[in-house]
Amino acid sequence: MSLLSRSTRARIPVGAVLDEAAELVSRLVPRWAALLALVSMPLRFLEVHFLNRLVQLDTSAPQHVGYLVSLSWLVAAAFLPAIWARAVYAHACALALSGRSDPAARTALRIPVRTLVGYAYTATVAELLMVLFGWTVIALPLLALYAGLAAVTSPLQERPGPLAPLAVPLKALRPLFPFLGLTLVFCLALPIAWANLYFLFQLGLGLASGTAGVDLSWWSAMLTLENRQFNLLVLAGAVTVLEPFWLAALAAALHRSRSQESGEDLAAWFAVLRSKASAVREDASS
Amino acid sequence: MAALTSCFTHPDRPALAICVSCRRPICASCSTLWEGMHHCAECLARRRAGVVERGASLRTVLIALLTLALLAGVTFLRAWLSAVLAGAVSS
Repeated sequence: MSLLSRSTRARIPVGAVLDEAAELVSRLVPRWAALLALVSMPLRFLEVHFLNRLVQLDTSAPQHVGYLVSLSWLVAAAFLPAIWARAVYAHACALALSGRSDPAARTALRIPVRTLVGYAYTATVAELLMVLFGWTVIALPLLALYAGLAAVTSPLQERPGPLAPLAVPLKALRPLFPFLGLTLVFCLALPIAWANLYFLFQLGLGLASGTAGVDLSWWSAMLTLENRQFNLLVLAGAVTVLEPFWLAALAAALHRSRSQESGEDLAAWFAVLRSKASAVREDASS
Repeated sequence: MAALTSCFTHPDRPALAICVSCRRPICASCSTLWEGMHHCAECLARRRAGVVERGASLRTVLIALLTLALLAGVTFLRAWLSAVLAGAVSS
């Protein structure tokens, strides 16, 4: 039993979690992933616009704080629908993981207000930490992990309060290493997704240049590495593409760790063994 | 003193009081004094659930307001910190 608990139950293989996440996004919750991407897109574009304007303002940025505040309000306005979409997506993932099927729209959208408020509070605190420490770059993966866990643990938010909701994502970090492994994988996946999107635009430009009578000089100037705004937009696109996979992977890892804690994995294993044994018995009798 | 009536839940026991909510006669084991009034188990559970629900709803509203205030703070902080950092990096 101790051998079982140490070698079989304590491990959450990152590869298996990624496979499960890919299956979740492509087969079980594709429409919820599309909803998440669509609703999050304005937030990503506004964040890019904010960053671009900040870089353009350069040394004069401290003299234009009012303008930056107005842009920041737009980001805040897009943030609220984005966290609703994340909560719905996390709820759909949790339902799909427990039922192994695409959840009904009515069920996935039915999130208790208490849960939604608890998650909105945690996500806003995560955003505050992102604003305070995001510029250090090193803190970004850990903050992204906290924000992602806040989303996938949102169905567990039961007690609204100033401290209890913030502890829920941290309590989910058991065991810690699979979650750190997933963070590392997605940190590596981000530049790959960026490069893929960049070359997709270049491919589109190359194909369009073959069409006679189309002037592409403006597009050629825009879709280059020298254009900072284009680079930032591609980065936002890469984040938007990866976000459903990131949240699905965290949801799958959380589901595995929780099923190990509750013994649900053993129950499932025993069910498989029982069905195999009955199949063998039927074969033997026939 | 003879009991006027018997307990609603336990007909073999004499009633000690009347539930303040449902007005049913209740015996000593069924009665609970809450806020100085006699309650039967069912009505007490209903009232306690109502208090818990009201408390939770109030907390939810307060956390929602706190979230909006925090978001407003994040909005100003994002602009201010970005401007300060951009100025510092450029100079």
